[in-house]
Amino acid sequence: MTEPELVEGLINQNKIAIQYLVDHYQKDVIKTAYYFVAIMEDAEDLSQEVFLEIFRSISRYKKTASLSTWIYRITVNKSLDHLRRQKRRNIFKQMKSFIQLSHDGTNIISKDSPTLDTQNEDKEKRQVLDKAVNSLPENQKIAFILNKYEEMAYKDIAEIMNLSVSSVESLLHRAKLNLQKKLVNYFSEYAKTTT
Amino acid sequence: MDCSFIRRNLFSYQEHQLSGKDNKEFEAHLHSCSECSRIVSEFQSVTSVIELRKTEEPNPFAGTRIIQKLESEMESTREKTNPLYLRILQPLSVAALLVIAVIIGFSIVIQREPGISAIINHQQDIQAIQSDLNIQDFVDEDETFFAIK
Repeated sequence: MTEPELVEGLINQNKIAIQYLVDHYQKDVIKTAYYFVAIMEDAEDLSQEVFLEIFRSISRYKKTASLSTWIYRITVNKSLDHLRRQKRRNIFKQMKSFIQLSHDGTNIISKDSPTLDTQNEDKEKRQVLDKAVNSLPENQKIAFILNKYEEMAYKDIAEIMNLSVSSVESLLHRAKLNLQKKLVNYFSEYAKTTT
Repeated sequence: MDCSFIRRNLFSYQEHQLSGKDNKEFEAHLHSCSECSRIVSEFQSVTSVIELRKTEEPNPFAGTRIIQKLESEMESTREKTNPLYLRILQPLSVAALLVIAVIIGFSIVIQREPGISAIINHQQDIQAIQSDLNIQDFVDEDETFFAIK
């Protein structure tokens, strides 16, 4: 099935076209969402939202970009929305636990400090990396994830982000510098706490 | 080469982006500086998570769930997009039924309430008297009330 045939089929709500779309893009959509949200179940739920969005807005799809670029854009936007919602929920949770703990008179700070030599070292490593990546400015985060996880070329990232190739290069450079700085700080702090 | 160069070029070293000379000096520094050596090893350990994530696969039934979601969406859009004549006829028939119901209700109330029918009868009597007296022939409209009195 060619891309125009697929688009036409989706507009006409053709079941074969829908099946083809899901078969072809579900893995990429779920994996991209997973690289952003870091939990596979959340990424799978998000992928449903992505495909619904594709289905609802296919008539507005402009053929200036390829279908896969358009799908990646929707996936990235949905993932970022999810992270924003999660951030708001976390702030609320932290405020709630702060109020509860201060009411109990318990110490808040020492409870969840990350350490690398726990039983679940792999989980800790993931947390450290996710925290560092999530603290990057949004554009740097998108460029970094698409390049390092998706192994996308600068040109493709530029198309998805609607930027020039040189802007993507600059974003990636800054993302890496920021990440190095954050991770080195974390490792230095960690060394101080263990000695 | 100093420690700050090492800490600014962790990705470049990992991605083999350093020149041959810089790469040699980088590694020589790691042999002489335990702190930088530890940081590089921690950095590589944490960023190895990226490669690990790439190997993880989604649930094989995720696609089926997406299809189910899309099918239920198709069903609900079909219900929303009824033909035009149905969308016009439905509210019109409901409105017509309401009007008929109000008229029937009103006529029942008139028949059952003696007060209302008496008022209507009284008004009919007045109209009959007015026409008998032929008031309009000899009085002005404004003086009708007095003329009747």
